[in-house]
Amino acid sequence: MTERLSSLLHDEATALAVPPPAADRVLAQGRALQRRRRTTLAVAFAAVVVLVAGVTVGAVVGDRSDDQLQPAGPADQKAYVEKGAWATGDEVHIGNHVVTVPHVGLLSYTSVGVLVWSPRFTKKPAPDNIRSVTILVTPDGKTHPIDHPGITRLGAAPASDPTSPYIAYTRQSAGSKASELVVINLLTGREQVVSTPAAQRDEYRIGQAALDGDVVIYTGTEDERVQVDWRTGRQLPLNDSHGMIIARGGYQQGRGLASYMGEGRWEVWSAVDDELLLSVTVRSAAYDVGASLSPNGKYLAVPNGRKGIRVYRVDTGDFVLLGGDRDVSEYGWTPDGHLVGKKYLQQRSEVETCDPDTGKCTGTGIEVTPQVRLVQGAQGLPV
Amino acid sequence: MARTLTDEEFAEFVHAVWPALYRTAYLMLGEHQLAEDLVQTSLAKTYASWRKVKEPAAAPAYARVVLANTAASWFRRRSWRNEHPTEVLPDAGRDLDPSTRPAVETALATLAPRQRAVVVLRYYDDLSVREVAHALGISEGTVKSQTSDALARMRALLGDDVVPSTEGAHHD
Repeated sequence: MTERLSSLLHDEATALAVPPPAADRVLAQGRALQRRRRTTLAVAFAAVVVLVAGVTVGAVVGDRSDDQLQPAGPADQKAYVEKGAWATGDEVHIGNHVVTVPHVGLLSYTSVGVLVWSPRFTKKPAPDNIRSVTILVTPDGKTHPIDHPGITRLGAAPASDPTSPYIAYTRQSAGSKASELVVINLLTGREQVVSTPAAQRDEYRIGQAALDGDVVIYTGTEDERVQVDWRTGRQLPLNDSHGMIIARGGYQQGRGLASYMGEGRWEVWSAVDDELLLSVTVRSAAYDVGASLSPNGKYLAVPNGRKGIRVYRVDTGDFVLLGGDRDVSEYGWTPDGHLVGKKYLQQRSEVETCDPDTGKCTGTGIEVTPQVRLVQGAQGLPV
Repeated sequence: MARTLTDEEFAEFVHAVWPALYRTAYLMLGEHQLAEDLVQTSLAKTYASWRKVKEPAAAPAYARVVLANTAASWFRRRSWRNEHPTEVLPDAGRDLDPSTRPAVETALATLAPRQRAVVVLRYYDDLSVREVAHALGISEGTVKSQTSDALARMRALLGDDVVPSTEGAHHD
């Protein structure tokens, strides 16, 4: 009998010093996963709705021309675009700089720097207690807290686009239960409000938006997806009928959507004009977690079983193979579409960037533990 | 299906199950940081797929299955196999007192990752062969053969008193 072995195992377990539960991190990570899955369902089944009436462009407020953001120098900007940003612990690495930002939650790109969204709770972790902090880290290594009405109530990072200085989110209108879409120019602090007829019943869901240039996609009151040109306030058609969609333009950006069509076939569609951009078939292993569309929409990374990761150019269909032990879910992207991640996945090892056109990977010389946070683009999920 | 939880309720659930999951994770992996990562990742997955939990009472068991499944996916990675070599037995002359916890920890460290997970799930978490197979995504036959191999190896280190030679695949 193995009672003695069981007893020794229990003794071993009982003697362990158990670290305190990281409930806030679990919730933040869980919400990110859930948000992707909800997006999947909403996109897969929502009808195409064209609603023009009732959408009006609101007033422009918050013009702070005396507090304009100074663009980073060319060298810092180049390093940011090519090396991107990632975080380990409270250290945010951006281009050639490292800055300290407490409680890093999610990272997302804008053209003027990386947004760092951090969940904070006033009491216990709960929707009503959340007071999130959103900070822009510019390529010169400076931090700029984003302070606009409603932004501290976001349950996720505001929507952003790596080629745009704008961010977008929805918030409850002042003195009303209705919601409004707001777009902020990070360079000027200028805020544009787009009024919508949608009532914000669940404030915690705000922030589920994607931004692609002038287009914002966000979640409506009935969990439907709404696509709107934020400059004109005009609502646009949104075709959700491309098979079982398991990823779309990310939960912070809106460039395209990737669909899993079954039997290893992946398709990338333009979310804005409903055009098929790429269709490929890749033999994946059962444990592969799905594909990842780069934040700039130019590359699709697809797992290829034990062979590694195939990285496709969306415009040509050409691909390179990143061989070895690489997992799509463990890689993020730089603003220009390079992959960035850990050379070896689980233990302390070097961060590397990989060229999506040549497949060549270059070590950064920076070692990290498994806890590295990346800008992961539009990541797929298991069907 | 369990009703939707508030984040506050899920945070309470995390506090309730964290110690047990952490202990299982540590026994499986033998490293504190990795164990913490595994528990955090598994609970995040549990949060995201809460609608699959049929009733609240089943939630801890569901989270444990997610944990085992996540660990199994880690084991399949080539880097894991490269960086966690387990093919060399400790020096046979090493003086191990088989009745002590360090001896058990040392013996666990000699097992291949999946064998180690099988032993922990069966003899610490007390799961059946079928439950272990489900949790790790492998066949019941594989669970039995892995158990048999693992116990043979542990027996060599800990002796018959701790791992009787009659034991193998009969711990259902």
